Amino acid sequence: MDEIELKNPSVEEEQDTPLDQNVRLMSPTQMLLRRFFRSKLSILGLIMVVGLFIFCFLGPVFYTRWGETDLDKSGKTEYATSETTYTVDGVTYTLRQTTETHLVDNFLSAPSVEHPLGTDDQGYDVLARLMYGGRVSLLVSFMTVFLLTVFGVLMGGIAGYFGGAVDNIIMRICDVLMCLPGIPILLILSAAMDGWVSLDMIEENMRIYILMLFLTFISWPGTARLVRGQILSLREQEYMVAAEAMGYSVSRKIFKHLVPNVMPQLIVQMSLSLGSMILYEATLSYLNMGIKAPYTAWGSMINIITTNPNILQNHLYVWVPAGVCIVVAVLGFNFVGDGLRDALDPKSRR
Amino acid sequence: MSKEKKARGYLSGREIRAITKANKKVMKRLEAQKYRKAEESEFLTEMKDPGNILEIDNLHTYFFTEQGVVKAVNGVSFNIPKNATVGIVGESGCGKSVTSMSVMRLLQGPQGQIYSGSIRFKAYDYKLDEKGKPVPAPAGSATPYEMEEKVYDIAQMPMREIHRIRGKQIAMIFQEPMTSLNPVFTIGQQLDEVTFIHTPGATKEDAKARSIEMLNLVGIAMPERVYGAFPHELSGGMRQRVMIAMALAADPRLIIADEPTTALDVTIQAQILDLLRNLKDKIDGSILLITHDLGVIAEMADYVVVMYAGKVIEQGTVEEIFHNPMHPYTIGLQKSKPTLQSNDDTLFNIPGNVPNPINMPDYCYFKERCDKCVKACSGEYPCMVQVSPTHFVACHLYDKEVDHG
Amino acid sequence: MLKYIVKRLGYAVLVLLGVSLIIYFLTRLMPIDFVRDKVNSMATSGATVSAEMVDAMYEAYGLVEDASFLDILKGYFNWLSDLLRLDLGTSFKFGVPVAEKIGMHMGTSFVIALIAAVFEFLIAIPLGITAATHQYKFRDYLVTVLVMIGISLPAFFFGNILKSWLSLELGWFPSGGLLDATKVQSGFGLLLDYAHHVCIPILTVVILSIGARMRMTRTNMLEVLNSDYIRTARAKGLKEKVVINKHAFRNTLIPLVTSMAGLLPSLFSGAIITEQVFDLPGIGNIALQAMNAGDIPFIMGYNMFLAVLSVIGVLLADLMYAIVDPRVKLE
Repeated sequence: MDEIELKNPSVEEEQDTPLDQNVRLMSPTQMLLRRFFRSKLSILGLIMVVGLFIFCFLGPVFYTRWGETDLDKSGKTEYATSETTYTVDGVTYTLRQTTETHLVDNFLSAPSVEHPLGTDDQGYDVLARLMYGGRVSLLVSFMTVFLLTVFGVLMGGIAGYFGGAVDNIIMRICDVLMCLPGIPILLILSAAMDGWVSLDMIEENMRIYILMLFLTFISWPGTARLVRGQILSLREQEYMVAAEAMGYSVSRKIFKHLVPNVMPQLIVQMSLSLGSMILYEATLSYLNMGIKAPYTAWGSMINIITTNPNILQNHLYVWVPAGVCIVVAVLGFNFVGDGLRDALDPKSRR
Repeated sequence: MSKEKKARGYLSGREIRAITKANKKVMKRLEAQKYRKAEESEFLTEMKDPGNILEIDNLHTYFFTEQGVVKAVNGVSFNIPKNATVGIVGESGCGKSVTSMSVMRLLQGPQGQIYSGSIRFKAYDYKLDEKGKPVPAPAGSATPYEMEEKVYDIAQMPMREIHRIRGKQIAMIFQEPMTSLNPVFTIGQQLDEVTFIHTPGATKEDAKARSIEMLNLVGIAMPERVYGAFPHELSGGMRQRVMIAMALAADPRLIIADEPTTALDVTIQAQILDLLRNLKDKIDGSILLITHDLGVIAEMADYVVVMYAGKVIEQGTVEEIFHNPMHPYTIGLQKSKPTLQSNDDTLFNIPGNVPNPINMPDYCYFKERCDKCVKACSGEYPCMVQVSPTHFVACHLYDKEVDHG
Repeated sequence: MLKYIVKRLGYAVLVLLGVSLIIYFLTRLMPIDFVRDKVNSMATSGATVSAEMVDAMYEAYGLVEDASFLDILKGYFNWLSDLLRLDLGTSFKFGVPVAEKIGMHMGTSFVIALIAAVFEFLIAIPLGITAATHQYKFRDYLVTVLVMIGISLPAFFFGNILKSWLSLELGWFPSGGLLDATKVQSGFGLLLDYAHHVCIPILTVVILSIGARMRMTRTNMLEVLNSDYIRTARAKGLKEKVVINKHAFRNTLIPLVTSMAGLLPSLFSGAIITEQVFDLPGIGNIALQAMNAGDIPFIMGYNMFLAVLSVIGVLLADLMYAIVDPRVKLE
């Protein structure tokens, strides 16, 4: 067997180092980073997420030619040809007539130097709207995840801490909410809001925010169960009993013991739910429940194709980039979430 | 200098990358070796002493972790004679379980690897013809194929051949009876399986008969009922009996019992030990008993191997080790065992901890916990000194050539 | 066992009561004038909604001007008692009883979902197992990437991409609907035409749902492979193939079969987005149309239907668990 160098960096020889400490290990932070970056996918996910943020929030700073609501008024000429056939005395004449229409808006123009991704059916620049639309999609999802986490932690915390009847009631509410169908129930609310909008009770653009807010109210049970479970299992742990016996204050117990135990799982769950919230937002926008023109979001940009099959087939540049952005965002958050799960879960150690 | 001081105790990023890179290379090569296709001749060898059933020779088993190479077994050599019971003792983490896992080739890859050394085992296996097919026995013989004695080097065997050894030649009893049985199969199904694998042409009835016989042998009162039961319906002691029955089912030449009683409560422990001791007389084979309990060793073993930090530090017959322990560690171990006769209020304990196996020095690993240090102890690691035909110790105190001043 | 089921059923009824409360009050958020406008416009556009029908419904739902809390509560109980008699009301938009309408379109959704589920399990389980047995190798990464893409693709985007490419661009498949209306067909030809139309929708559903299933299989398999009894099986001398395909697989099957049972009811619920994209007359697409039209009875009925399905799913999964895993006893 050929000899291979086995690398084991040692501490500089010091005679009095005890043997059980005569070794240098990884620091906890190193271990965490190492586990996170071990998978190339988490790096890729990080790049995707950061890249999208830069694109959406810094992009418009550099790409100033078109704003979100700027219509390209440079005009467009459309030609329509019509044919009419006459039969006079057995001879057929075909009359070809070409109509030239001058239109104010330069809509559906193919990608060019002027419009790197073309313009949509109204004449808005697709690239600019991709950036501004991304802001809405990302912000709405972040807000939703933040709210639902706060709400879930609160409810789970209350259930786990007080136990008994309170716990029972909260958990039954969780059961009910978990049986609610996701998109259909939002469709009811949206239908109700059709009424509010038609009676001018709310503004049309508020709809997506109200829908997502409602979504937080029905999707907190996952987080609540996680927190509650963690609290209950902590209660059984010897070191918590010891903390009790030592007379530690409630806040110390919460911040020294509970928070560090729940945090890793919570972070993982947050990053994974970011992905699913982006999907929800996009789907609702696609179903025409999102931001309305002149403003936009990624899902809304794809909504056009439901009414205009011509765009679906012939003007891919109008809707595909938005879809790609959605996929990149969701994929990015999922990759990061998965990487975090591997890094933070001690059981998943390789 | 101050910067270096700060980094001390933790590895730097560059070092971690260097370790990972070096590990990857070695692991890749060892894995390829493990899963290679090989002719039988590649792992056939000869025993040094025909009286032995197993000879472990300078075995090195390493775990390639991100923090460095853990030399869990670092040059271990010992023999198991035919029909003998050999006990391995040592603290937890000294490498005794890893030694047994190496023999069974059950190390969790790709991190755990046999790095070098040989494990020679005298097997009683099918005679193979040139094409590698078993030779059918002449009509009227007990087995369907011709059998012969062959010596395998288990460390060199590729994984695709390892089923020749496992279960049939060497069987293993694990520490955790509660989780070692598959929860979704009945005891009967799991026991029958052993017969099916190792007895070609066994029918369902044969297998069941064999399984019931084994359950009887290990002292289970209602074998028929246990046969149809699921593991979760049995107590820990019962499950360990089932594990033993499973180990015996294929008539192995060697049974490895890895802390078979540690997870059981005291009364059950005694029963299982009784069972093992009685079985030893009934079966035609050797036992390798791994435990940290000196009492168990004293009762069960013929030969004792004492391990410390991945190395054998003393070995001999049970009388020699118990009546004439020589290594300061062995002496310490015995002193730390509570006895009824002693009048001391406090129990003796060996000071310090087991060294971290990632980075071992060149000198004796026990040096700083030892109360009998001599000058030579700061020098090279002591080699094995033979003190009687069967008694060996690795300590400078008994090395005649070194300076004892 | 029987006692357990009765208890669980009672519990399920409670959950459904909660769900019905939420659904009712959400619907009641709709302003009454708006509803009236909708119904009137529908009546004038020729839908079969008679004035008496609408009035009767208003009363049943407590949809009266300036409704007090008591009226709303009365409306809820009216609706609930109808619900218990399996009367979901009459759809505004379609002019037929809601239950009947749901029944009419359930079949289409079910067939598509069932075929998709079969493919999903047939592909996901072997791939998940290979990924687990080759952890951290190329195959594992490949499967992980596929899983992630499957989970991350929005149905409306992926469906439209497939539609634009496979049917509009290449013309291999019809772009929507369930039948070619221009042809008169019967027997086998009809069946073939159906099959031709559902190809891409099924492909869409399979690719979108396969990821989660694959991940589940992989995670479970990894957990099982690390357990002590797998080590025992190896120590017995079993070949690695048998260890994985018999000992490990049988244990991985427990959560898989459980989830399969839980999936069963959801096969009837319809895939809203996919059916919308491919214009299939499935229950999801119908529901979407109803919701765009503000068809209150249908919306409420459909949501209750979905809730019942998911409650049954949970129940079935629990029962299945007890059947597959010998360690679990229901009590």
